[in-house]
Amino acid sequence: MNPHSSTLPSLASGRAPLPLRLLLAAYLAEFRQDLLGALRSVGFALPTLLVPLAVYLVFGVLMTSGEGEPSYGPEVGNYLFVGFSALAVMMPGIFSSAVLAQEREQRLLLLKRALPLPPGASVLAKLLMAVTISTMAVSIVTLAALLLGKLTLSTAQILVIWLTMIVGSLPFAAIGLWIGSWSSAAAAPAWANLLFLPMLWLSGLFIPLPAFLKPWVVIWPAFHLNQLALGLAQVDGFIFIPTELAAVVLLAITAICGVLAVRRLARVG
Amino acid sequence: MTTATPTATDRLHALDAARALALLLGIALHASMSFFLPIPVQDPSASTTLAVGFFLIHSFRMTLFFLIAGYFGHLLWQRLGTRSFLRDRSRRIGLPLLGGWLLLAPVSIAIVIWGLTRSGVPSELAQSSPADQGLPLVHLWFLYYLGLFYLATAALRALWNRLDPSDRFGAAIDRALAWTLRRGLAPVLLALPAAAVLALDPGWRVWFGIHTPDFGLQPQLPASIAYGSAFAAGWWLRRQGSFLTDLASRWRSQLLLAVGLSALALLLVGPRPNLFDATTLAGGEGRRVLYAAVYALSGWYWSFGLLGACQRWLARPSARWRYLADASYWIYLLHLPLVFGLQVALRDWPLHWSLKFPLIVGLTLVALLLSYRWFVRGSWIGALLNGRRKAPGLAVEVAAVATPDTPITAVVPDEQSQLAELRGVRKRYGQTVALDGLDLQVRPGELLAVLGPNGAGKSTAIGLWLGTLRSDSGEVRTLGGDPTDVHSRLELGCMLQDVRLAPMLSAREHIDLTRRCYRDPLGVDECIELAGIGDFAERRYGKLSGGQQRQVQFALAICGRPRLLFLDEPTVGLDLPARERLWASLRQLVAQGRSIVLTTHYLEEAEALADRVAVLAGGRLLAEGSVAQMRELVSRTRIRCLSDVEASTVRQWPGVVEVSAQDRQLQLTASDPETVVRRLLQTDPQLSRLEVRPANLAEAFSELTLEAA
Repeated sequence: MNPHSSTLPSLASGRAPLPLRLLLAAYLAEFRQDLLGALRSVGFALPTLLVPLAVYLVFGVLMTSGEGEPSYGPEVGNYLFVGFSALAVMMPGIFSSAVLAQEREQRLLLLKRALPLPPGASVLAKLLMAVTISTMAVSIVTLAALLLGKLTLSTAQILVIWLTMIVGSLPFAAIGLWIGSWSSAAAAPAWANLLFLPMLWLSGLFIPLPAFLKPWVVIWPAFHLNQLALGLAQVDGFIFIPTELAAVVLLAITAICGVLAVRRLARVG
Repeated sequence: MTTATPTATDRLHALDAARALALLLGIALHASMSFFLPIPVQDPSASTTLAVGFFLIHSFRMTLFFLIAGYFGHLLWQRLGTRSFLRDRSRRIGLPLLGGWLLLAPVSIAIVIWGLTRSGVPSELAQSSPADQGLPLVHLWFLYYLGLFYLATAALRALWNRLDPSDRFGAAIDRALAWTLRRGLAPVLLALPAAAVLALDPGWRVWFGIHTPDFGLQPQLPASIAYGSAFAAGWWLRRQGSFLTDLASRWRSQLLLAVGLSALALLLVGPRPNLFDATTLAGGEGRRVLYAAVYALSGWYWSFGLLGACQRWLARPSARWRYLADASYWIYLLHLPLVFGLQVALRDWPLHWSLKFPLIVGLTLVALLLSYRWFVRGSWIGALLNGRRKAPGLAVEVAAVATPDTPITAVVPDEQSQLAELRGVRKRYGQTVALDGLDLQVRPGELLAVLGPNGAGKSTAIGLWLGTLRSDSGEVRTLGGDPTDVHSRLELGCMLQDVRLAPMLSAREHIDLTRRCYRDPLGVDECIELAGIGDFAERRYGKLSGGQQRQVQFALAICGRPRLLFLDEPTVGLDLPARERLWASLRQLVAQGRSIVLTTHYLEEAEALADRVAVLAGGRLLAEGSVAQMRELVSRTRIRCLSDVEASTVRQWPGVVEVSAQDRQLQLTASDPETVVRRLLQTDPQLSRLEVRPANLAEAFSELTLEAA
C-alpha cells in the first residue's frame, strides 16, 4: 500500500457530478472536436459545402435562365431554390455516416465510452456537427440565390425556409448516425450514396418525374423536408401534402433512426 | 394451433415455417381488402393488383393451414393418446378462441362499423345485417373449426377402430395415397371434395372460393368439406413416411402448376369480384364446374408446392424462423383489429395503395412483433400459445457453466478498500468463454500487472471495469459504483488497444478536448511534459508514427489526473527511450497514490513496475501475489550443466520437474535443487559449468499457464 494514497480526496467526492459549467464545457468540447475534424477533412467538407452550390448554379440558375423558363412561370425559381436547399442540408447528415463508421471501427467510440464523457455527448456532437455544416451549406445556396436574383419570395419567407432547412437537417443527421452505427467504414459511403442518389432524383426536388414515380415521392424524407419548408413559408402552387404530415414524417424518421443509432452505439461503439 | 413436438426433427421446422407463412399471409390478405372491397372501409386508391393477390392467397391459405394442422394433430395424438390430446387442444385452441373472441370480436366489429359509416356502403351489400348470419366469429373461426375437426377425428377414430380393427381398409387408403403421391397426382384426388362442394353450392360466391365461415356456430358445408378434407389429408399423410421428402423433390413443378391453374381460374372469373351479383359466373354451368375444379386444384397445388419449398429450404433449424413461427400465432390472433383500424385511419390519406398497403402490413407486423417480445414470449400468454415460456431473444440457451477450479492465491485479498473489483464474473462471446467466474480486485495505490496468454481474458476484464462491456453474471464495481454509470468513471483514465484517434486533430487538441471531461485535469502543457510528447504535440495525429500515437493515447489516459488508470498493453510499439519514459511516469503516478492496472506481454515490465501480479488463463485467475511471491509460488530453480548423464535418467529423480538436453548441455527445472545438484555431482563427477539460479517471472508465468492448459 502506498503511503501517499491519503493525499487523494475521498472516493465519494470523486463520484459527485460535474458542475453545470464544466458539463456544458465537456459537451461543447466534444462538438468542437467533431466539427474541427469534419472541416479539416477535405473529402467530407468540400463536397458537402460546394456540391449544392455547384448544382444549384448549373441546374437552378443557368439551365432555367433560357427561353424555356416562362412555361413554368417565374415561381419555378423559388421551387428550385427550396429543392437545392434541401439537397444542401441532406448531404452533411447522410455522409457523416462514413465519419461515424470509421470512428467506430477505429475504436475511438469505444474509448469515448470508457472516458467520463457526459451521456450522449458523442452522439449529440455528431448531430450538431452535421447541423452546423448543413447551416453553412444552405447559407451558401441562399446567398447565391439572393445575389443572382432568382427569388420572388419575401424576406420573411426566405428566412422561414432557411430556418426550416437548418432544423430539417436533423432527420438526415439521424439517418447518417443510424447508417454509421452498423455499417463498416468501407461500406458506409456506399450505403450513404445508395440512399442519397435515388432520393436526390426521385423525390421530385428539381426534376419532373414520370407519372408512375410520382406517388412514390412520399417515401423520401427529402420530399417531406421540401414540403415542410414550402408549406411553412406558404409558397403557393408547390404544396402537395399537408404541412403537418411532412413534419410528422420527419419527426418520426429522426426519432426512429436516432433511437436505433443510440441503442446500438451504447453497445458496440 | 398445434404444437411442434419436443422431439422436433428437421421435418417439423419446415412445417412450422409453412404454418407461420399461412398465418402471416393472413395479414397481407386482410390488409389488401380495403383496396377492392368495402370492408372494413373502401379506400379511394383502388387496386386490381391487390385483388389478384387476395384471390391467390385465399385460394390456398387455409387449405395449407388445415393440412399442416392435421399432420401435427396426428403426431400429437400419437404422442399423447386421445384423452391428453383433447385436453391439450382445449387448452391451446379452446382457451385462445374463447379469450380472443371475448376481447377481439367486439373491437373488430366496432372498427368495421366505424369504417362502414365512413365510406358509405352500397345498400345492396348492406342488406343482410350481421345478426341474420349468426354469432360473428371474426377471424377466429379457424380455431372453432379446428376444434370441431379434433372432436370429429376423435369420434371417427373410435368408430374406425371398431369397423376396421385390422386396419385393412386403412392400409388400402395408404397404398392409394402413396400411388398418387409418387406420381404427383395427390392434389387431384384431394381437390375432389372441395371442387364438388363448390360446384354444387347454389349460393357459391364464385370469386371468393371457399366461403369463410366467420359467422354462425352451425358448421357451414363448403368450409367443413374443403377444410375438413385438408385436415383429414394431413392426418392421414402423416402415415406416409416419405410424404415430406416427396414434396421437397417436386416443389418446383407443383408451384408451376399452381401458378398456371391460378392464372386459368382468374381468366375464368376475372381479376376483381362482382360484388352485386357474386354468385353468377358468365358462360353457363360447364364453365362454372370447370372453374370450381380449377380453383380447388390450384389451392392444393399451392399447398403442396409451398410445403415442398419449405421442406427444401427451411427444414434446418433456424433461430429466426423458430422465433417467427412462435410469434405467428400471437400475431395472427391480434392482427385483425389492428389492420382494420389502420385501414380506416389511413383511408383519407392522399397516398397511393402501393404505399398504404405496405404501411399497414409493416406497422401491424412491427407492433405485434414488439408486443410479442415484450409481453407475450416470456409470459403466461406465451406459455399458453407456444406451449411454454421462452427466452426473449433469438439466442440459443447455453448450458450452465461448471464451477471453476479454485485459483492459487498467494495473498488473501484485502476486503476493505477496493478501487475496482470483479466478483464471480462470467462473460461469454457466443460459445467462447472469455471470463469464467473471475475474482480480481484493484487496491488503492498499487500497480497491478495482469498477465496471461492471448485470449486469457485480460482485455475483457478491463472492458468490464471500464463499462464498455457488460458481464453475463457476477458483480463488477469501479470506483465505488457500476462502471456503466458515468459517475463511476469521473476519476478514471484508460488506454486501450488498437484505438485510432481522430487523425485531423493535433495531440495538443486531443488533450485539450479530452481533459474537459474531468473535474480537475492537468494543464495541457503539464500533460504533454509528463507524457513526454513535446516534440510532436502540434502535429496532426494522423501524421504520427505508431509509437508516437501510443504516447499521445497515454497522455489522454493521464490528462484527467485519474485515481485509477487502466493501461491495456501500453508499451507495444514503443522504442526503448519512450518505454522507459512511460515507466518513469507510471512510477510517478503510483507515488502520488494513484492505482494502475496494466496488462502486458512484457514480463520485465511487470517485474520492473508491479506491486502485484495476477495471472489469468482461460478466463480464470491462476495466481495472484507480489512478483516475489509469484516466483516463490513456482519456487523452481533452473539448473544448467555439461554432463554425460542421460536426460531420461534425470527425469526419474525426485525433485526434478522438467529436463531438456542438447548434446551434453543439460537443462533442468527443479523444485528441490539441493538434492538434485548433490545427486548430479555424485552420478557424474566429470560434470562441469554448473549454473544454478531461481526461475524468473517469465519462466514462472509460462509454467503456470502451461499447467493450466
